Amino acid sequence: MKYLIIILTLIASAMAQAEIAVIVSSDSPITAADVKALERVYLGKANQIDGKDVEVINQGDGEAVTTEFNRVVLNKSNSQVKAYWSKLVFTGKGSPPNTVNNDAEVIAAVKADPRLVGYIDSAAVTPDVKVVATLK
Amino acid sequence: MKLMYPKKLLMGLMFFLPSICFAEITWNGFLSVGGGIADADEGDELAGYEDVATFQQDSVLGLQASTDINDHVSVTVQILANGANGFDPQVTWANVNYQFSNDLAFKLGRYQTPLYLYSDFLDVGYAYHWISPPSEVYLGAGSTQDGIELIYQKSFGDAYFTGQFFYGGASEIVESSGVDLSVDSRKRGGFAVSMVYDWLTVRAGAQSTETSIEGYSDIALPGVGSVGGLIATLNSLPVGLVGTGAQNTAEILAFQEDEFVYSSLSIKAELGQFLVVTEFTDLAVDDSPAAEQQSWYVSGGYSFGDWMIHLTHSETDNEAPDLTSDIPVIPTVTDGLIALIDGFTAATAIDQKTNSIGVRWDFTSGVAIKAEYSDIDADNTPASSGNLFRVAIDAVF
Repeated sequence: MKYLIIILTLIASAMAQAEIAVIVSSDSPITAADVKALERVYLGKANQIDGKDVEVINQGDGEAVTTEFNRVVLNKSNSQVKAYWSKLVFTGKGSPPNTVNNDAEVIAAVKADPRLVGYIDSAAVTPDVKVVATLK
Repeated sequence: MKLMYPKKLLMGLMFFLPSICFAEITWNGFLSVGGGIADADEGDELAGYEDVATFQQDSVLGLQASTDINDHVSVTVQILANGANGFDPQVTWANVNYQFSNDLAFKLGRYQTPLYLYSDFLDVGYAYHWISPPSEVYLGAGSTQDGIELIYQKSFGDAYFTGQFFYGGASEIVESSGVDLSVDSRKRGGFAVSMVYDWLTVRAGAQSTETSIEGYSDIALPGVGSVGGLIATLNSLPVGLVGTGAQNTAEILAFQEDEFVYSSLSIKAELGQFLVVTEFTDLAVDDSPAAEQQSWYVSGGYSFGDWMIHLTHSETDNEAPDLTSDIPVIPTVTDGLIALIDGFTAATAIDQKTNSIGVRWDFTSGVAIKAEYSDIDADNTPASSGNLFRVAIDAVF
């Protein structure tokens, strides 16, 4: 029984981890963002969501939330995302979003700049940021 | 291949150095280490590989530094050391970029010409699935030029448009038939437009140049010594006997300001785990000793986890120029020359087909390992047929 509880807890935490929250500052004019709009800004094809200027931040490749975000929003594996950006970087057509290390740094960055959009594990959401999309 | 004007360009960039020194520089790089072994049907070389394993042909190191001078102006410099050229470092990108708006940018300086789909990042192996894109289309299709380029990128609903419009010139040294040829492309202008819609990418491009080759007359030919000797012989034939055809041929053999027109069309589909990409290219020339070329490939890949397996078929069909139809056949006067010229032009035309199977394994972030087996079938010399096995590690950092 004890093991069952541990296993269930692990499964529950794994499931919780799979949920991503896309966050902005509580001062941001953006209220919601759909997957298409997020894909465009995260691939550098647009710099607006709902007509509002945005800048996006990434998390490192080693974070589970990054792999999940790339899969769900960009429909690409981490290495496909890297290949996509290397093509643009080495032809002078664009540069990838800035990367921070973890959920806490995304929250700190978003709070400091109302133009920023980031993604975190939904379990890490704090009351002082605004969630504009929840993705599984 | 050796670029002619790096000093001039670097001096131009020195002008910007005072501001660069205090700006934040972004460094990016790519590295490929490749090796292979060939089993050629004739001779001992195939696509730059031999019957013992060698590690230079597909090895390349690129370093790129870029910096934003202000909100609109940025500077990018890329240095490339290519194993096929003995790792002699060259400046492949060195330009000032002016960003007019989010959609429109203007580059001045040196940049890689976006001739075909993979041309402007041909050296960045990490960015595609092969060890190198099919040689039938891409041999000589990655080239840097000095000039201007306008880049327009914009989303239209779910479609994303990229347009590149360029004009400039390039000068490079190419070793061929044991002679150093200085290939000078002037008035090199063209465009590449692409539209990405969800899983589908469609791209079209065209480019024209005026190409002259210095050193072409030094290419050795039996009987007359060299192409230069052939030109002199043709010009010495009495017009009363052979008409003006011989002189016209002599003029064409000088290889001066020949118009080359390149065009291409490609379609790429990235559907879930499947990738299909195909490209058709055409080189048209007039009054030139160069062959006309029609080439294409189709490649399909399937990804599972960190692995991808892919199959490719590629072909090039060349048409040798006819430089002798206007010269009357006169025994002992022109018949030997005609045979010589026809043999020389026939050697510029290569018909070749390749079937390849390959794998890519993305074994850690930013590093891919690839292996590829190719069966090359060339119809005529100097190209050779045979089998080629290659492995490579591609990284970006």
